[in-house]
Amino acid sequence: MHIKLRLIIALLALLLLSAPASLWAAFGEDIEKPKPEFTPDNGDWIAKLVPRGKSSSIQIRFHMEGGTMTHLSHLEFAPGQFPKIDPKNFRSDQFMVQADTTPGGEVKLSVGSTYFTSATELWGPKAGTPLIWGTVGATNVGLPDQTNILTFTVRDGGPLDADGQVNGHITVHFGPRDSFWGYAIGTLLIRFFGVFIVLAVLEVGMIISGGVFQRLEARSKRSAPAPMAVEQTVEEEGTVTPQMAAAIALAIHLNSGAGRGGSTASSGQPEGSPWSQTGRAKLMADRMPVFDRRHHK
Amino acid sequence: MSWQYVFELIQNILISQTGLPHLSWGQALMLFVSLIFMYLAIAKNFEPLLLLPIGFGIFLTNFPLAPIMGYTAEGNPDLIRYFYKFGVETEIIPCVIFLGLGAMTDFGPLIANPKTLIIGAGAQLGVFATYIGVLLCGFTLKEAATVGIIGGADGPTTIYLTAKLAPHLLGANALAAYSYMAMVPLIQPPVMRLLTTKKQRLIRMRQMRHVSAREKLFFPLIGCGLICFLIPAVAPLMGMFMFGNLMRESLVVKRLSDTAQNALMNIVTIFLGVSVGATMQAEIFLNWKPLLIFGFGMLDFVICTAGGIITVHIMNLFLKDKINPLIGSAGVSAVPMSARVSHNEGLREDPNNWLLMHAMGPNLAGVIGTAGAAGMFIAMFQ
Repeated sequence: MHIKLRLIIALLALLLLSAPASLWAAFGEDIEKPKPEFTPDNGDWIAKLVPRGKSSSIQIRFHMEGGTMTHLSHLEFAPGQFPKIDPKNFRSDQFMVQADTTPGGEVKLSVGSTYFTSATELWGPKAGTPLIWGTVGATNVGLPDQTNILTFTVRDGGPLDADGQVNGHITVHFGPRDSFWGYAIGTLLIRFFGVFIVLAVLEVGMIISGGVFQRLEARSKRSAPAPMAVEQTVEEEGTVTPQMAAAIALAIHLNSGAGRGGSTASSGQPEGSPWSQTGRAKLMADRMPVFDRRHHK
Repeated sequence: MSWQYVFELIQNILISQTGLPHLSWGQALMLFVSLIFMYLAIAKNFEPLLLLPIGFGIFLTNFPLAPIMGYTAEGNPDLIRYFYKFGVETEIIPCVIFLGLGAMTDFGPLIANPKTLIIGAGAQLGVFATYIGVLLCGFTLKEAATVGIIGGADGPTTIYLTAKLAPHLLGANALAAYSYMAMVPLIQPPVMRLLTTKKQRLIRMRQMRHVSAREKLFFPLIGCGLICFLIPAVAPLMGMFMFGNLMRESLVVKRLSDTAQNALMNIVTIFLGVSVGATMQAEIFLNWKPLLIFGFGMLDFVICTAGGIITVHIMNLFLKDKINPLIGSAGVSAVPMSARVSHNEGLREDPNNWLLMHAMGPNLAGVIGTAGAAGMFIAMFQ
């Protein structure tokens, strides 16, 4: 056993020491980056994407009042460009929306999806600190069809307009933010207790079915015909002889010894009952003739 | 034909058609790793049924230019890529293995003592704790789920979940799961002794009731029905598991049950092992993640073992007939190894305390619990 453990440790150490730095770079790579596809839909735009931590795609609908969306794309940050933004918190990607409106005018942008929850916020660059993102003050409204719509207002040349100029063109950078750790830990706890609930339901089901089956068994035993007289005689006559008792005791003794997995002589376990002693002695006596046989060459 | 031409020809053949000039350090290392796993399987009998094919898969896939795990110029898969594509990627093999496991399993101890199901749930603690730990190390949510499930000590479930959520980690996860399953007798006893007192280890449990053949026959239907209603995502695994068990308990399809337990199980084990091994190509496998997976896998096992024992302690606060906490460690689903470890630890304290059948209850509950946890993860990422 110990050699196995040592070999495993040696193997791990070998792998650790021999991996060059270039190979270690694979660690921490953003392999779940969403790749949304945008399609216009009756004046709105729809983004279809597989968010982080999901296997199936979702849809996000973009709707604008007071202006016209001209272009939508997802925001691609250069590595280290926004060190204070953790992309993990933006599970359904960050977006850039370009729109036309009247110079100095205001547009109302709504972003809706069944993927959003009441805890989803819209975050964008804070006024005067483009490297730091914070909430854009969107209102979150839940609809009966489980869609949550987040709405916020952008003024041409205002703090949320990335070009910062009053020119009738608005560029907004933002992303729907769900706390990554909040989601990870919250859902984890729910699912851990979910396993308990599932198995507890199964337990209840088994207890109920067990009770039913035991009752059925008892009823079928009661209704079964009485045992035959011959069988009764056998049971009555089946008294335990000293030989049988010794054999049973030996079996129990050997079984206990085998379970310990070590030598019975050196294991420090008690020697056993008189029954087992008798059984052993009888067995050894029976084996003696075997050892006394002559060898044929 | 000049000598120079002949030399050029030989040189071209050596460079373009033989593997040696293309051998990278990583491939050489992986060839060495494969030899170690084959040694452990053959010489040390260390989970040989899986580590031998996995080891050979690693061996075969790390020869440069060998058409094993890639695609031909026409886009057709190479030999083992075929096995992988149709067996593992489609999630067929883990389900077929569950069919065989179901046909091999006697649910009697669990039916006789259904409260051990809760121990199986408690032993999933490590699955969820490791999930958080792995996330802290920068793994994605899906990757973390597949690493967490290793602690459930259920190879087919680990492979099933990994193939679904993070196929690039399949080799590392499968290897960690099977390696640690083989190390259950080493990992669990210290944890068991640490978390129990001598008095608790001496607890004798009441003889289990007799379970009728009719009750065993209905269990797969009741169990499968309830679980599939509550966690539909796990229906493929649980359905096959319970179908295998139904074949066994029905006693009318002995040939099918025998095939599921033996021939079919052996066939898919060969393809599974070789395919999983072949995913461990040097350029994919040699990075930080497999190392962390091995580290967290060990931690996962320890926490799962502790989770089962702690669950028994909590249950004992409310139960009149106390449960020996040593059977809590059997809540990980390494069947029947962890039950045997519980039994042997019990015998160390009292040579006449027979815990094996009592420990089989949580052991089987662990199989269901791990599959349930996997179903929870699958549902979470759907």
